[in-house]
Amino acid sequence: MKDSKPKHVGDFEFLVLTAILRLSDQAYGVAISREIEQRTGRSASFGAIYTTLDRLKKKALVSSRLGEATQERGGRSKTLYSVTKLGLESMQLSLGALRRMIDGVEALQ
Amino acid sequence: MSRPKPPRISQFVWSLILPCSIRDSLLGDIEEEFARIADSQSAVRARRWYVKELLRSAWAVLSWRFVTSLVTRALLAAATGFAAIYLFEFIAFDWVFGDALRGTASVYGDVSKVVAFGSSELFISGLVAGSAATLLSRTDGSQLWVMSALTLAGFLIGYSIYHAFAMPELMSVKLRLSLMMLKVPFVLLGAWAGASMFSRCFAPAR
Repeated sequence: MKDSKPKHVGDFEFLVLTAILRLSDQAYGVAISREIEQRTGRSASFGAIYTTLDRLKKKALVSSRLGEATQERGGRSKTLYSVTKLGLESMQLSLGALRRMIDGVEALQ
Repeated sequence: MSRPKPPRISQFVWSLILPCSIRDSLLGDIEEEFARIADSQSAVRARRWYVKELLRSAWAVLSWRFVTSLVTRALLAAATGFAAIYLFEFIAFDWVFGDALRGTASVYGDVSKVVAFGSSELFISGLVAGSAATLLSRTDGSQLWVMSALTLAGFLIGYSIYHAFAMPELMSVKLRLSLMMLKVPFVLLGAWAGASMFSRCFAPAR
């Protein structure tokens, strides 16, 4: 049985999860990569995005479904991702920890 | 005018390194981005981007495949376990007892070896227990583990050479088998420690 307790996520995992939430039902590799780059300036390879997505899926923090296949993708389908309830709880856990850590640190105010 | 296509050789390399579960999605994503760059900039830039993206992603994908593959994890872990055992045999047998044992042929016998190897097994169990504690803790010990792995590898090579040229004629087959059986639980523990160590040191950035 999979552990259904929320767990802390790494910083890149957090970025990917946030990008998925922002993109709603259009969250797939290219869009996630673009969203992260536009909002953080951090350029991530598709390899890094997909390895992270695979890890998140194994932890049951995201779920996936197949989208449409287009000609510009060489007839290949998109895999669309969404954040699960456990994923959302894990994000809140990590965000809460970060907020408590920086709370009162003057240099970061 | 026909739409430019990604370099075939790169596509072939991608199809080799990508696991089936994500191959189609990732190749589709890359082809989509390639088409976007080719349309908005130029085919040459798109091709350059494609090769660059392949190189950037290769490390992440390969290490991920290596880490998530049970076979490679088990092989690496077993190697780490054996390396750890040989290191401690080397220390106990050659450094601690070596000079005394080399003195006369009578003490350089099977009983002495069993004592020496037995004590080395105790050392290794301590090492594995310590490793397990380190790996279970939440602190990041990756640097320490990289250094330990390099040291162990060095000792393994040195001791293997010694073992191959100096030991075979001094030990009976039965004793060798007994010692091998003794090592099994330690190898398994070492295997687990090695696998955890590897996944911590070389897993893609989190």
